[in-house]
Amino acid sequence: MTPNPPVLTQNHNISQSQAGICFHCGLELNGITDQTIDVQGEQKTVCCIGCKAVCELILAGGLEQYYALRSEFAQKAPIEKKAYLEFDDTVFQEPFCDYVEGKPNRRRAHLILDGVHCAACAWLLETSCKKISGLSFINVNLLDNTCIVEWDEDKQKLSAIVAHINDLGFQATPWSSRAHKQFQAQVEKKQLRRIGLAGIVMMQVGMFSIGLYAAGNQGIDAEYRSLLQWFSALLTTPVLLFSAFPFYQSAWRSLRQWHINMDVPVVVALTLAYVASLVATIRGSGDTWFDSVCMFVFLLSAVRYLDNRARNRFSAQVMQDDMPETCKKLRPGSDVDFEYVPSFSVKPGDRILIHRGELIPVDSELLSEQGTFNQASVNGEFRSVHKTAGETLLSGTINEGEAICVRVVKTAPQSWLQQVQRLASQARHSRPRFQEVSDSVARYFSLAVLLLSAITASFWYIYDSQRVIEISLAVLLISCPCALSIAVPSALTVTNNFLRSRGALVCDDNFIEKLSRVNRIIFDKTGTLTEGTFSIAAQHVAKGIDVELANQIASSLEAYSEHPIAKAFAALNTQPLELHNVKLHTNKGVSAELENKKIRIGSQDFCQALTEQPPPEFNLISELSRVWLCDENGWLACYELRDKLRDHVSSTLDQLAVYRPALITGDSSSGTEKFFSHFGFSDIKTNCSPVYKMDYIRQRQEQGQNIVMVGDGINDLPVLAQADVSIAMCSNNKLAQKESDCVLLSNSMALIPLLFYQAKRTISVMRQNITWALMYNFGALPLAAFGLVPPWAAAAGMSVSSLIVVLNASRLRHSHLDS
Amino acid sequence: MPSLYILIPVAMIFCGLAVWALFWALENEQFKDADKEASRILFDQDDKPSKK
Repeated sequence: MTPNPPVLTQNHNISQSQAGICFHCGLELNGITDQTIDVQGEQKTVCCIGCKAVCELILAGGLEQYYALRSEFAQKAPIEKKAYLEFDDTVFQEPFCDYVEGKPNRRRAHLILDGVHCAACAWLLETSCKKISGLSFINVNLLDNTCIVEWDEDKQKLSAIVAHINDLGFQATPWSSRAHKQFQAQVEKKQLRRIGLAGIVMMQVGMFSIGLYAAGNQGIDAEYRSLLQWFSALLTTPVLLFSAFPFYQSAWRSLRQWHINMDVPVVVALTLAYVASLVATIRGSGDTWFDSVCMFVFLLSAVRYLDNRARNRFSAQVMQDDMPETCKKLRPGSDVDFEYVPSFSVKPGDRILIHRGELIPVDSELLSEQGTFNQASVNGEFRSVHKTAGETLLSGTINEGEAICVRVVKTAPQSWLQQVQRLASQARHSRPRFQEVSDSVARYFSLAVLLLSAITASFWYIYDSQRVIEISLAVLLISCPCALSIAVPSALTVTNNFLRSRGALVCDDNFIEKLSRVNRIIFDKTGTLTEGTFSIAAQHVAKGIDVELANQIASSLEAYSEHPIAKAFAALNTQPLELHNVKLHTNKGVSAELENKKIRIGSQDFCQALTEQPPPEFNLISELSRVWLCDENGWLACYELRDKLRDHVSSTLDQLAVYRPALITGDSSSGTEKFFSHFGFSDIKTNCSPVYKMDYIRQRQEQGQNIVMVGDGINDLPVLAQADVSIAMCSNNKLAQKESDCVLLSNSMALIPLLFYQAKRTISVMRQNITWALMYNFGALPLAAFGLVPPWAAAAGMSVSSLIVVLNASRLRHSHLDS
Repeated sequence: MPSLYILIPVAMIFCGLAVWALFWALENEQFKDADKEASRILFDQDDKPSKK
């Protein structure tokens, strides 16, 4: 595979030999080094053998493109080499590694990376690591500085992979929720400090400027005017240096790549206002705008902070981050005596004590007689559920009742919530079309704003040179396209988080947009409309046979079978009989001896072989699966079974009637069509092969239909992939779904109409946001250009318009369909 | 008006105090758990030995 370098157009090239700094890490050399390296015929100076080694490694791998494409210097490489042997220890690996489903010996690790700054770093890391033998997958996430690697246990060691990553000059550490949380908390604290400083200073400077504005009308001694201005300047300086730092950082980053983002006009406005005011203060004449600077910095950072918070609102719910790190493992033979052990260390079979209000750390089964639980973070169901002994409790369930005792059935990495979290972390973060449009509009708009303010400035310079700075400042401040650039992402993240809290995991950022365009919905049957669990629908007993006895024989026989159908007989709840010579016949049934009489249960042919007579005429419901029971003297009974329908199938299909639901199933039983004909399907096709299903969808796509396919995501993957959008239902708590665009975590179908409804709403909120942002920007710009808006009002106007966008997006957090 | 020469530095001191207090509160995670601290006063537990 040829490596594709990340797209960084017209990157500012920092690879050019800059004298006096290290070619690799960019540190100043101060003439203390004599290490050089040959890069494509040119001698480059590096600061130390560490950097030299990394550089040689990169060049040896043929990855010199990295130096051409990177937008930031690499981190200084460590000189010492470590072996990272601890990474091979299974206990050490436990919290952040697991096995890849379906592939024996394939391991997967989550790592936190330090030193990954730009797309070129990520590209370098990925391409270089792909050359390691035995490494099958690597994905670097720039947003949260993490990476996922998969490797074959027998061919490669994790320590070698980690050593390679570190050799490249990045530091890989095991992913841990605590480290991640601390990192986020630090970031938030810093943000709040910046906002707080700007806010307090804004008030003080505002006070001074009221004096100055009043002075403008009533007159003031130059001495006092200067005093107020000097103190305003003194106060504003830390705001510009500390609070506005992120704006400068972001503007600088985009300028280095020859892009103009919305922070560029912001930074230009801030610098212009500050410098012009400072000059006026020093000269002792002219206006100052220190108040506008403080206000703009405060309001803009506050809006961005609120936007971030609104987006992260639901991820703050019980996720893996909040899973308890320790749990109370009961000592053998005791129901009260426990010790605290790390949650990742418990093994299937261990017993754990869960007190009221605590989370179930790993998938377990209930040992106590009964309990009340809240599964909101498992599948979005907010009502409490009652469970009895033996039932499964998925990780993330909250114990709402008395203290209970559970037995572990799965290790931590295999448990439900951890799997959901992993699925979410692998979501495809492609940029939705809407966002691409608004991003590029915002980009051009930033450029346009700069040009327009230059034009405005030159006009006013001729017309009234006194007001040049004031007016160009107002233009810059009022027309910053911040609202435009957050219009789409804020709505999208709020919706995705909302859906997650209701039990639908969105795996593709394009899902909402694609779903809003869908006009046809197609369902699969088994595992989708039905749960894949059978129940007895009807029972027919031959003349002269006791119903109880027949049930007793049937369930005793089926108790030996592992077939899904056999589970239905457990519901008959009878006393088991003593059977001899039990034999299981694959695909036929079970035979045994009861009181020296041969008995059989299973298919009609299988039983007829024993009875040697045609079955009696029962009043059979034709469409269901049948199980026959007989002994050597004749027929005893016939059971008709049906796969249990999911909850709310009928009401869901009613609500989806506009999308003309169709059913395509591989099921060949004659009655399926008849059974589902009452549900309002526009089309039902039975006995379909996967190829036929794909053709069916393709034909309709060619007719211009936009199709969403709902399946169980286990045996219908190619069919799901053929559809425009796919939704996977999760059956029997199996979460083996990566290819679909959205996974429903709960057993209920009622979520599907909610998805459609929310998609429509989200799209309309995005439209409103974009329309509002454009209207505001185009409307306010002329006002400012004609000198009708003072700079402080421009700063407030821009912030308020962004706030409106954020608040509008946060409406998506609630839905009146809920009740 | 000359009083401004005293009043403004005083205002600056208070401004500085406010910033310091905010930074201190953030550093000590005073905003982390608003629920617990709000109801803590309602509990009678007293670590100090009672004088009676």
